[in-house]
Amino acid sequence: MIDSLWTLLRSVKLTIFLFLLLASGAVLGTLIPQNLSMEDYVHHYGPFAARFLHVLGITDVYHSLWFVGMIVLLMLNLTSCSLYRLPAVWKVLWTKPRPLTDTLWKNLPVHRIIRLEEGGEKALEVLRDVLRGALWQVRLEQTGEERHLIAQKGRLGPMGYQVTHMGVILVMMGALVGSLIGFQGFVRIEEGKVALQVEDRRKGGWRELGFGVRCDAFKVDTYPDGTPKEFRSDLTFLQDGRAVQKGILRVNHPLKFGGYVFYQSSYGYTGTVTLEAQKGAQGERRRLQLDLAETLSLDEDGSLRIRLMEYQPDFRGQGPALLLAILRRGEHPVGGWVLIGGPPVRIQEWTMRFISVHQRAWTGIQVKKDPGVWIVWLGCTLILMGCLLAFFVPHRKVWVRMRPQGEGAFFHLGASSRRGVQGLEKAVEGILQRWKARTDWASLEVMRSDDG
Amino acid sequence: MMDSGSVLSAVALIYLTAWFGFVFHAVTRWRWAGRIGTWTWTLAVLVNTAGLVLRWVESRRMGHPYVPVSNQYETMALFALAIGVLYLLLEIRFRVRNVGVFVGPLPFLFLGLASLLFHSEVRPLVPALQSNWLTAHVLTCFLGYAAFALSFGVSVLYLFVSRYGKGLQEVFPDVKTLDEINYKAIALGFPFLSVGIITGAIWANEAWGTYWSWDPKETWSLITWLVYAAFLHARFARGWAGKRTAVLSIVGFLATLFTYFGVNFFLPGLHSYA
Repeated sequence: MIDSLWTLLRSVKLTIFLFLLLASGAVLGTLIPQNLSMEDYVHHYGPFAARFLHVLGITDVYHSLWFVGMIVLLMLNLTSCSLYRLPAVWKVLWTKPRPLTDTLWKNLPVHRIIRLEEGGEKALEVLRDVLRGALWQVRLEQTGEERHLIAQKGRLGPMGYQVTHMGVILVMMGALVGSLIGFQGFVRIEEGKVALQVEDRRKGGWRELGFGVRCDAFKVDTYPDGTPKEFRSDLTFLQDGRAVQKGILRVNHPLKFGGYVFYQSSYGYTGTVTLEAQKGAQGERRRLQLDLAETLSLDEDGSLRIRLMEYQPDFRGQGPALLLAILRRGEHPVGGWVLIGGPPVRIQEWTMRFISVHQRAWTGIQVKKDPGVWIVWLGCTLILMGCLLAFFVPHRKVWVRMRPQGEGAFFHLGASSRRGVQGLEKAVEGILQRWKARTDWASLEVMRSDDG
Repeated sequence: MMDSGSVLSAVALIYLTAWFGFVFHAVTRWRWAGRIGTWTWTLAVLVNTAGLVLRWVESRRMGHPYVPVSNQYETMALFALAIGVLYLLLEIRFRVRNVGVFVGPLPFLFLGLASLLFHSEVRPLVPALQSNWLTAHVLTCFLGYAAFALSFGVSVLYLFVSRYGKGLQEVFPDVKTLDEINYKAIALGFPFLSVGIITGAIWANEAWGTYWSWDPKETWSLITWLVYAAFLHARFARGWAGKRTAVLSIVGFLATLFTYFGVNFFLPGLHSYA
C-alpha cells in the first residue's frame, strides 16, 4: 500500500496529470473575475452561483486550498521523482565507460571501420589528440594486443532535468519565503510631506518604517503629443529627522533604503479650490473653499450640493480643471469638468466662478521587502541551465578499437548517444575528417560498416 | 520614402506568394516551385527585417528611438519575422522542404491582421515600457512563440501525412522526421518561453515591485508553459510520440495564440498595451 503510494507519488504520470490540472485551474481563474466583493458576484451570477463559486474558492483560485494543494503535491512529486532517479544519474556521471563487447559493438548507431597500411600506433595518438582538441574526455586502455580509446562528452546533459527540477523547487521556496516574511505596502506622500509609516497591503493596518521618506517634488514629463514620458519623485530619506540620502524615483528604476525597495507606482493631485457662488442675479457673492473629495452644501437645506471628484493640473492642454459632481435631492448626480478661470457655470439659480486652486501633487509609492526574491532568481537560473543541458548537451560516447595487422592496423570507431543520432553522425564525420587531415597516410580509408 | 506600415503590409503578400510556391510544389511536385517558394520566403524575411528597422528609424526621426516591439502592431510584425527566420533555419538544418505548407500562411495572416486591426503609427513609449528588460522579454517570448508555430505546422502536417500518407512520401518528409522536428522546435521554444516569462518577471519586479501577480497574460503564459512541460514529460518519460504528441503540440500552440491574442481581446490586465 505504502509502496504503491510512493510509486504513484514519484510517477511521471502524476506530473503530467498535475500539469494539466494546474493549467485548467489557472484557466478558470482567468475566466471568472477574481477577488471581487460578494455583492459583485451575486450581481453577476446570482446568489446561488455566487455562493457556489465562493465555497469552491473559484473567486480566488490562485490562493485557494485546492490550487495551492496541487502546487504542493507537484513539489512533492518533483522532489521524490528527482531523488528516486538521482542514483542512476549519479552513476552515469561518475562511471567510466568500458571497452565494448562484440555484441555491443553491433548495437552502436554509428560504426565505422578503417584500415591503415602502416603506423597504427601513431594514428591512434593523433586520433586521441583530435578527440581531446574537440573537448572529449579520452582514456586509453589495452586488452591483449588491442588498444582502445574510450571518450565521452556532455556527461552533464543527463543531469539537466534534475537541475531544472531543483530550480522549480527553489522558485516555489522563494515565493513561500516572500509570502511568509516579505512585506508589501503602499504610501501616498504629498509634495513637501514626510511619511513615517506605510499601509500594509497584505495584513491591513500601518507599519512603521523606522525612518522617514520625504517627497521633495513630483513631476510628470510628457512628449509633445501629451503621452506621459516620465513620472519622477525626488525623495529624501530621513533618519532621526536628518536627511541621510537623496534619490530620484522613476518607473522601472526602484530605490533601496533601509531594507525596503521603493517603486514609483501612481500619482495624483490634491487641491484646495476657491470658488465664488452667487444665488440669483442679485444675491450676495460668497467665497467658498473646497477640498478634494469634500462635499459642500450650497442651500441651507442641503438640496443642492457639490462635490469635488478630481483635480487635473492640465486638462487636455487647457490648464487646470475640476471634475465636479452636482447632487440634487431626489435626482441622479450629474458631473462635468470645469476649467479654472473659465466662464461661470450655472446650476439652477446658482452661478459659480472658479477663482483659483492651491494644488499639491502626491506620489504613490509601492514599498516592498522580499527576502525570497533572490531565491526565485537563483531558481530561474537553474531552470534555464537545466533546460539547456537537457536539450542541447547530448551525452555522447566514442569507442575506438585498434587491432594491429602486419605493418598496419584495423580501426573500429563507434559512437552512441542518448538521443539525436543525426547530430552524432555529424560529430563522428567531423572527427574523421580532422583525423584524416592530420595523418598523411594515403592508405587511410574509411569503410562504412554494414549498419553504419 | 515608404513608411514602415506599407512595407510591412507588402511583406504579407510576399509571404503569401512564397506559401503559394510551397503549395504548388506539394500539389504538382514540380521542384522548382518549392525552390522559388523558399527564395521568395527569404526575400520576405529580408523585407520584414527592413520594415522593422525602418520603424526604428522612424521612431528615431521623431526623437524618441525605441526597439519596435512595444505594441500589438509591432509584435505581430515581430511574430511574422521570427516565424520566417526559424522556418528558414528549419529548412537548412533538416534539409526539408514543404514543411511550410501549414506554417506558411501564419506570417501572412499575422501581418495582414496587424495592418487591418491595429494602428501602425509610431508612438513614443510610456514610462512603464522604457526598459531593456521589456525588449529582452518580448524578443524571447516571440522566438518561443515562433518555434511553437513551427511545431504546430509540423504537427498538422504529421496528422495530414499519417492520414493521407499514400503517395505523399516524395513530397513531404517522412513522419519520423516530422515527429523529430516537432520535438526539436519545442525543445527550442520551451527555453525561449521560459526566458520570456523570467525576463517578464524581472521587468515587473523593477516596474511594479512584484515578479508575479497572476495577471491574465502571466497566467496564460504559465498555462502555455505547463502544456509544453506536459509535452516534454510525456515524450521523454512516457515515450509518447507521433499522433499523441502532435495533438499536444497543437493544443500548446492554441494556448500560445490565446496568450498572445485572446488575453488582449477577452481578458483585462496589465498587458493592455500589447
